[in-house]
Amino acid sequence: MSEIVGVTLQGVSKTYAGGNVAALNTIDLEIRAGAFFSILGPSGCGKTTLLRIIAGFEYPSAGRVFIGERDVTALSPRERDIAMVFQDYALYPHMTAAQNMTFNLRNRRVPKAEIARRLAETASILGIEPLLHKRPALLSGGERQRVALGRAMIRKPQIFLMDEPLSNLDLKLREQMRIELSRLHQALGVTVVFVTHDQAEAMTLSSELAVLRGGTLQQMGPPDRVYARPANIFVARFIGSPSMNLLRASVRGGRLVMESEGTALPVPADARLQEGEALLIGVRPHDLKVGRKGEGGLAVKVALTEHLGRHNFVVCHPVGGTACLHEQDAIQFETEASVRYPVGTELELSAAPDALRLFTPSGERRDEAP
Amino acid sequence: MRLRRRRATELAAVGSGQSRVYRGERLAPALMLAPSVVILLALVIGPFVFLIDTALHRQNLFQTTPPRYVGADNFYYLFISTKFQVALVRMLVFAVTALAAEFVLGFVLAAWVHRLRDLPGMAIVRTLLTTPILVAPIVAAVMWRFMYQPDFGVINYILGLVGIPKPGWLSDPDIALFAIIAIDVWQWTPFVFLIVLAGMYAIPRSLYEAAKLDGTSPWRQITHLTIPWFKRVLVIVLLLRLIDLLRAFEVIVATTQGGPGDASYTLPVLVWETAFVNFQMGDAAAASLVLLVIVTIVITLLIRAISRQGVVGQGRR
Amino acid sequence: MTDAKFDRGTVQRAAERGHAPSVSRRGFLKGAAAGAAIAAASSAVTWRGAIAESKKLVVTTMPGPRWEMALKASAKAYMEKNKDVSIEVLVSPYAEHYQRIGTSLIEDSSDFDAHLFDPVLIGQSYPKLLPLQEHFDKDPEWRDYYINGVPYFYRGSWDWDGVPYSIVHDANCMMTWWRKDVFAGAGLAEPARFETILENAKKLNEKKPGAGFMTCAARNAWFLGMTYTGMMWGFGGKWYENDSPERFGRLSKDNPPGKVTLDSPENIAAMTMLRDLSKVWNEASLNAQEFENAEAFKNDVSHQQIMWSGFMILQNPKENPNFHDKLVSRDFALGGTNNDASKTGMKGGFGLAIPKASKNIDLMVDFAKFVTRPENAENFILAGGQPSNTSLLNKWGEQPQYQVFKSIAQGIANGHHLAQFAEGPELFQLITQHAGDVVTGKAEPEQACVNMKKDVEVLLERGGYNA
Ligand SMILES: Nc1ncnc2c1ncn2[C@@H]1O[C@H](COP(=O)(O)OP(=O)(O)OP(=O)(O)O)[C@@H](O)[C@H]1O
Ligand SMILES: [Mg+2]
Repeated sequence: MSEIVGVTLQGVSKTYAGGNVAALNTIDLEIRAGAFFSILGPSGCGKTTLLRIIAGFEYPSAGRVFIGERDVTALSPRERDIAMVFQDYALYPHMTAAQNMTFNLRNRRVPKAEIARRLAETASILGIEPLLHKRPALLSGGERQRVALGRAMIRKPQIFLMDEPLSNLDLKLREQMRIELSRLHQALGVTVVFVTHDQAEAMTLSSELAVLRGGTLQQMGPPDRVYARPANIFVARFIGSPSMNLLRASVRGGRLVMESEGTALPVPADARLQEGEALLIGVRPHDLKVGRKGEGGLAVKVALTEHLGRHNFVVCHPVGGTACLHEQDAIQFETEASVRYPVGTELELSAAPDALRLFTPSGERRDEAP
Repeated sequence: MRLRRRRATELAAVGSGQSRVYRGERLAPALMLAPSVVILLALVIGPFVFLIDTALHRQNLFQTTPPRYVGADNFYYLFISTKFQVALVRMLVFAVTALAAEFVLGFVLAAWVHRLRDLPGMAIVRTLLTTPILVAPIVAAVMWRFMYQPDFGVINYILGLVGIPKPGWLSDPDIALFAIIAIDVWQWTPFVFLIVLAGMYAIPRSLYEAAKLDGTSPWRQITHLTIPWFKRVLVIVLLLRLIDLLRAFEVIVATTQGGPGDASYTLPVLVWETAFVNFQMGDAAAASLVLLVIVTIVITLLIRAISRQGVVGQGRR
Repeated sequence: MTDAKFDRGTVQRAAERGHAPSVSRRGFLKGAAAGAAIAAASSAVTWRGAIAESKKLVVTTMPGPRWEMALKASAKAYMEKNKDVSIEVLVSPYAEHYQRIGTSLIEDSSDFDAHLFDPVLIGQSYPKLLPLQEHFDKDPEWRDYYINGVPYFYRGSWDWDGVPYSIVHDANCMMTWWRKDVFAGAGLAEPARFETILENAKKLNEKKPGAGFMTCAARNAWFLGMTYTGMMWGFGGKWYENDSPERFGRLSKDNPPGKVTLDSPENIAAMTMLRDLSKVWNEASLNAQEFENAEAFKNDVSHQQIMWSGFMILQNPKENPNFHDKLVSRDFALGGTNNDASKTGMKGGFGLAIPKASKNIDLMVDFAKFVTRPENAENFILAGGQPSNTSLLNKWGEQPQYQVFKSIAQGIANGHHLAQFAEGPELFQLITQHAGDVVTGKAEPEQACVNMKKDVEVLLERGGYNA
């Protein structure tokens, strides 16, 4: 088995011929050996482009790509020792599952016995022994997925690249495959670069993730850290469901006062805030609690309650001095399933100072600002 | 025999007694088939029977004496004539050489254009490469005849500038057939090219990328990916070209009429010469029947061989 | 330009097969019309009658300057002289032209007043054609001019059993052409014999490769077969025992051809000469068409050729600005042991044949005579025609740009006409094929002659000629 290595991107930019905007903008990434690394972002942000640059199907317009210590920027895909699972699986239609999986080995003239051994091994890991003689057309989506994985695995590559491999599966199967991928990753211990636009998938699978937006890297780190400390309001809203609430406020007399008087939240302990400074406050729905009237807090009016089984999400409109980042935004918070508020109820919400994330008016994280 | 016929009529009588509807139901399909049967009779079977009948007569359009029944004489004289044997060999050389050249070239061109498809200007290259198909075969042949002309032709003019000896393209018996093959290749390679290229475009890009990652050499990409992907289309193109090549004659007639000597004298040219130069309709009919049989045998064998490999007929994907 | 006769002709006789021509197609249509309305039928009769009285002539021909243009120019001149006459010249491509003649002569010829065609169909069509002797005799002056001017060995082609069925329209034969300035410069002799042609070719090639000799096509339209046939006669050979100029290449069961003599020493000598020439001729000869031969002269590529008299256009300053006055011709060459100039060469040409059913016989005869008369010569020649009367040929041949007319006058006075028997096309094809074997090096002359003889024997046997 090849030694496990990571991937490093240094200042990678990509502008497609004929495209006037950069698909990728000076990306620096460090993917550790053995990581399950997700690249996350909305459609068109450059995830696939990034992956294809790592694979070698596209060459960066600027910057360098390293696999381990090796500078592979100018190498062809074949020379990079990577495997890729494509969004549409890209199985060879005229070959059986077994032939699909062993094509690479046969190309490299690996001895027959060795091929058979590895095929059996891989098939048993994936549990696809009964499918081996079938052609892709006769396989279900999940089965094809496994064969595609098998084709990638059998070569024992240094790096696995996966471009939204689960997006063609239905919800149930997707969850099942998520678990399986996770298990495989642990069993094989290889480096996986995983592209998805589904933040939940990224959160559950990854040991680390990177968030892209419009070709620019927004944040990189372990999922819980990115979740807890989003680098900017884009990441803050993109990760977590429902999204983080964002409110306008300014610092007055040691409190975060909403746009008008009467509504205020306590200031987080470690924030070195200046009197009069304008800020954006981020607070996740589950961190908002209903306070007692008159104690001060966010004044809202209940518009809708979503029942989700174990708990409810309450959607409110701001009233009084409370102001969201965008006027049309609603404020959401979580309650116990048993708690119900009739529509129109006026509430005051509060949050623990630690639960507040502070951003500058332009959307950057405030608490780490100098 | 008579007994059986009587029983049949009795049975029919019983049948007709059963129900009118039943009879109508039996009649309806026959009525619906009738127009196509009539068309088939008029356009295919009729002429075919006429052809066989003609082949059994000695009939020269220059004679006023009526056609004379001669049995299989026309076939006998055809088979013993040396020109028939020559024509058979020339036809096969022509068809096989041209077919091979058209396929190899068409494939290479398609692979090349497909590989460079993202470069600017490739659309123009593609269009240029396909224009020869648009030229009427007879026009193409005459055009090439002029270009091949040893003293005034543009090809020898260019060779003269470079100082290369000027061959008599269509007048050298060793070269003529291949010069004509070159015309056919020029005209019909684009056909193969177009269809192969369309097939290549139909292959998802990710398949090629997967193959690249699988360390597939460009040659193996063609043999293990491209060809299996559109084997069926390829077979159809192959058959179409082969049928066309086995009966090609306008390109030959418009350039050499089979000459010099018999250097480019193929079976279709023999048929044409016998019918429309010599006006021996009986001989021509016999020769064209032989040609028909040969083409049918070749094509049938080919289809059989291929369908055994599961390309034609049973589904795959 | 081509004078290959048989490639153009086809007689549509499908109608004949399987049913008696009791009701012709036209007859059937006429009958149907009559049945539909008697009034309509009677008016149709009046309509036909009206045409007959309007003095309108309908003459068919096919495209080509030496006949079509000459005929049209003559018609124009005739109409100017006779204001009450209108002449329609129907032009159609060769296959169609012969089809038209064939069908009209099988069914009903009354729509046509004359067909302009070569003698190849006379043997089959004469029963429907007007015998002309009586009409000739009505005008002794013209008759003597015609009979004395158009040599019998030429005119006789359009006769059957001594009865003329056409008035010969134009004349045409194969001959040798060369560049007199080049020949004078190199001190070469006039190519009167094939041995001289061969010598000249070698010498000319030394100065300029490919300039020595050129002829037409190794397979196209039997040109090679015709060249060889002319040579065969030029060497004193024959197709078969009974082959002589006065038989006009005709073959019939009553008058069988006799033994095929295509492997006689004279034939082999001619074939050997063809082989020797092919070693020194311009390579393009193996696949040339007439226009390429013409271009070769115009562009100084070749200096000696065997070609039809249609090359006359090359003596025209407009057609051949550089060498028109340098190009000359003479009657077909002799070769081997033959010294009899009356036995060489090959002739073509067209005649005006009048269907018996024509409604305008007298007028048509008058027009046909006019076409051939000296007073029409200028119209006829300037339109591209080559007259058939030697008095005209020799007179006009005095002018340098019509020098070729003198050679035509010599050529049609003797030599052979094209084959006129039913198997004619195939005979030329077989000769072309075996001559082709020789010039492409596939067979030696002796062997080729033996093979050719065998093939022609089979042909005659299958045609039922040599019983
Ligand atoms: N071959 C190409 N030529 C030109 N522009 C391209 C090409 N491929 C992608 N782009 C552009 O580059 C940008 C990034 O595309 P990319 O496919 O990397 O997005 P993505 O993040 O993978 O999106 P998705 O989630 O929809 O797959 C997009 O604006 C896209 O239009
Ligand atoms: Mg993508």
